[in-house]
Amino acid sequence: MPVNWFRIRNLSIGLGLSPALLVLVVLTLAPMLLNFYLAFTFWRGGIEDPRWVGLSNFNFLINDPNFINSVLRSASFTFGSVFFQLILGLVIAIMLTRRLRGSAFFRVALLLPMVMTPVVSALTFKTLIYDPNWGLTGYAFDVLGFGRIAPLSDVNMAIVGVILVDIWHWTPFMTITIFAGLLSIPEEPLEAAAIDGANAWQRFRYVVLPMVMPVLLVVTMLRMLDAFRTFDMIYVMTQGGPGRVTMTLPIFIYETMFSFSNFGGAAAVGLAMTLFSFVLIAIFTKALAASRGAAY
Amino acid sequence: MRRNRRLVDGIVYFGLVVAFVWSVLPMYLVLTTSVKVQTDAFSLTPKLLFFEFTWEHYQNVIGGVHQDFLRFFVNSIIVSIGSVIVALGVSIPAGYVLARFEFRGKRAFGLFLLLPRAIPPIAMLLPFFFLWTRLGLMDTLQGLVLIYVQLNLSIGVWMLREFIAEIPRELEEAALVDGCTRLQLIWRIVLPLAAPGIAATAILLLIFSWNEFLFAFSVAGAKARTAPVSVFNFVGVEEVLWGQLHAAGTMVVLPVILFALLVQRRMAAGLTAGAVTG
Repeated sequence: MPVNWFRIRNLSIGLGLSPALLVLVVLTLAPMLLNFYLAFTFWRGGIEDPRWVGLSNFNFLINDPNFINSVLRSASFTFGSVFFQLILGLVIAIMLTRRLRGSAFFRVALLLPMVMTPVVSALTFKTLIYDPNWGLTGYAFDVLGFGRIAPLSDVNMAIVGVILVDIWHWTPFMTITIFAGLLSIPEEPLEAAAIDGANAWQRFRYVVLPMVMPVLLVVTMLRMLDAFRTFDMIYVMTQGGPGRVTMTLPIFIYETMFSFSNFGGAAAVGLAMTLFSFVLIAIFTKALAASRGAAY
Repeated sequence: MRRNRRLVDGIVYFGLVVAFVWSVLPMYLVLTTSVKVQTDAFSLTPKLLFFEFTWEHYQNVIGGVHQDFLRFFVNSIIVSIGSVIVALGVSIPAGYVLARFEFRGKRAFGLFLLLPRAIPPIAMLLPFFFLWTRLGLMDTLQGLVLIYVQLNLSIGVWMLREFIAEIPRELEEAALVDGCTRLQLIWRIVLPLAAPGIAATAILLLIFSWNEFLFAFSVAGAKARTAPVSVFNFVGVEEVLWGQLHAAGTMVVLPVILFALLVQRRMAAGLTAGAVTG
């Protein structure tokens, strides 16, 4: 045979992958390494050259109470949002699997919040719902006799207000992915369990849940990664305030960059966030492997 | 037993209706506020159903009374479509190779592909800021397109890989026997058969690019500003232009909702693309 199929095969692989590889190296890996480098420099942005300062950005950070507080706020925002999204998403997904008239309609309508532009969701809640005078909660609080409360200006309520918007916006993500996971569960084990006399709760707890667990882990991981990095919604609603009570890490980075022109410090926080994300992925990958082992 | 079933059905219905109202209410508020006269929007008792109707806010937004919204809207269209075209051009060949070939380093490459999805974008803002100021890409549409290609690459390749893997291999083998070259084969057989999957991928990526805020807000200024950032700019220091804000918001959200309805069946697969296998 005159044509060398092995070489053609390798050529196809090389040609097919090289554009993606180029993007990955130039637009992802290189910037990531650059951020890594900048974390060890003093740089005020613009065209001035960064100056190597070793670990001093990190030294500064671990002694900065604002940084530590932002870590804690990011944690409470992430866990607070994702916990309720998971519960609500699971409950709604289970309700959707019950074949009722109109459930196809509900399935489509309930996913819509997720595709709203996040900035628009945030501004909608900020104005039409949370506004003390002209918003729905302002009116409701007033009717209930609490007066015109402004949730986003209140140091105790602001974080709850922001989390609630995230729950509203992203619960559909959980709903549709968990719903798809529930649909892929085979019928036989459920029927067998029913014949053996398992009640609805037992069927859910011992048959459905273990089989859908890998999906739950994956979507929880994805949602936690995204909640952790949320910038737009929080920034648009509160810009980290009042005071610093909603200043999660992304807002903290933004402030460090553009308000304090401390770009080196911002790079260090960015690096910390990247490491946190990798740790989260590692934990879930382990849990996923364990749950796959348990289900079969 | 039957009575029990009906009771559960009733509870489920009730739950779904509650979830529906909760999901749709904020959208209803945006839509109505965009066509409400200002005095009815600023009412201490919310006027949810009965209010005075007006197109004024849309006229003001489109007429550019407060800011050049229409130009920013066009910017959004250019950046989203441009980044989706480039992302597909990069992702289709890679998705094809990953779906069809076994080779050394495949798993490593697959994991490498997930990197853009694993890094928080805010941690990429700084290096892009550094690079774009030096390369003259600040406040340009190309600058945004390149960033969005990077952001969308993971999902693009993984989704397409799955859609291409669904195409029966026998069709390709038959074509190869008939003397088709690999390129002809991709062009004549794979692409047409994968078209629905490619369309779904394109629309999902389009939605992501369209909705992006962080980079559009930070590396684009008055020239390359996109529509979502422009919506935010209706929030002024002194006052918020409610009517225009929500008219612009409606204009930004409406196309995305229409697109989402087109792909809602494949959305679940797209959102978790790569995460299950990786």
